[in-house]
Amino acid sequence: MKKALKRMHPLGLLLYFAGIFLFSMWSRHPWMTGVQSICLCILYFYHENSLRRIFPFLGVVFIAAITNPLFVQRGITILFYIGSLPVTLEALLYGLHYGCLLMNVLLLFSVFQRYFRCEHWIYLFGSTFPKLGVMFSMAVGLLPKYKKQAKLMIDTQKQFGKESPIRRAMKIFSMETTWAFETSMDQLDSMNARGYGLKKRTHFHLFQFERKDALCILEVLVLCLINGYGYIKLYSKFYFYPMILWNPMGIRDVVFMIFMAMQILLPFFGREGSYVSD
Amino acid sequence: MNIILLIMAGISCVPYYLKYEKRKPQTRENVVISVMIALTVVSRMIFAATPGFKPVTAMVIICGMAFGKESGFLCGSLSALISNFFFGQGPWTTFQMIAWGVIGWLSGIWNCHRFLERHRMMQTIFGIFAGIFFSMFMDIWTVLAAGDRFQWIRYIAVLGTSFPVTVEYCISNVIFLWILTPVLLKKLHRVKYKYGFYKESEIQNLTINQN
Repeated sequence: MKKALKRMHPLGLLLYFAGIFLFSMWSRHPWMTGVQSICLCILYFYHENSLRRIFPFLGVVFIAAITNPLFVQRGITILFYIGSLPVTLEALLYGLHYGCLLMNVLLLFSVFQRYFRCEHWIYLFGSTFPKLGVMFSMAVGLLPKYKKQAKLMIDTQKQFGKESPIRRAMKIFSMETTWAFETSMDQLDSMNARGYGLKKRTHFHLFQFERKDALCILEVLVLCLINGYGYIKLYSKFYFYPMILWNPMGIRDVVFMIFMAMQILLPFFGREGSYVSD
Repeated sequence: MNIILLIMAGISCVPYYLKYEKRKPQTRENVVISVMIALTVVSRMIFAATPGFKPVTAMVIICGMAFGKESGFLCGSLSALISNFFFGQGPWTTFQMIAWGVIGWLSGIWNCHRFLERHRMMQTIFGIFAGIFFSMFMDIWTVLAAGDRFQWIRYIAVLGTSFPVTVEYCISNVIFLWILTPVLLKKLHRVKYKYGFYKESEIQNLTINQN
């Protein structure tokens, strides 16, 4: 599954993540949120092999569940009073649902970050914002260079004798700035010499659009359509206040929940395959 | 979570970018801004151990002061985006992008006729203003994350609880502005002179001032 996501075309990857992001943020119905929570947890634990990593996310759920009744006093089932403030069951459950929703978004972003790197952004937006794309890729490329140079400078300065660390840090920062701008001058010259900014130039990209990518985008779009229909028709409204009314779960709901699970777990169905570069 | 406000925050960066693209900037501007972005990101990484106490805002303000409002916006927003590849992306990225970008843009506007870089008092005021602005702007995100709708009661409560962080932002901004402005501006003016950013008339003004 990791390979399937890594090899995916940036457009397909963005559509896949954006679809889940929209559905998990707009989710109003506890069943849908529950399905998303379970699936995203599966996705998360596929990458992280320790159970301890889930605790910060559970903390978010806990805080959301506790703070909501303090601000909202609607709902008819009163559990207890804090001073003269009534704490209602509905507000507590709403906070819990909201915390799960927040956890979904955070989990999704932590998976998103593993696969969507700088190259993907440059590939997608480099043609609409060519100058920005160049600046972006240049800045990202300069970072490791600066770190390396800073380490060299620190090591050299340490040999010169004792100095207060703050003073040394300031000195190194000043030297680093001068060095950065002086080397950027070389870079500018070499860019101009190689004809940057001239027309009729082709770009090199890591990604190629293949047939499997088209297929994958199609799958994502079809699942988005099905789930969007289900969302608009059935799951866009759910009232926590003043009291919760549950409908019994029917066959139709189960089908839609399976579709939602399929959308999130889509990369598990992808073929790993073998590639020339492996 | 109010998705429309989140998307609006992302979209509101686009006009600035389009304006920059439409101006057809020269290669040297791109290079200088990308160097500034890289330095800002590195400065955020160096101070990663102390949450809140970071020189990013000061660096963005200095970039806006030296290279004008558009460069300030680009430096702020892109360094937020790039540094979050290391610090963690999330829905808050768009808010950080627009908050830092606006701070850079404002410092560029304030510094026309070198108003900001001459008076240390002005730098202090602007640093405090930037700290409060950034904190208040990011608290909007906190309120949006914590509830379905934007409620003023919650916003005021969040502002109250984030008061120590706001003070920390202000103090760090002022300290870093005081330390970095004289050091960096001297270098940046030299870079501008060397790269040929100045017009002829401005160069003559410069030499008169130095005498």
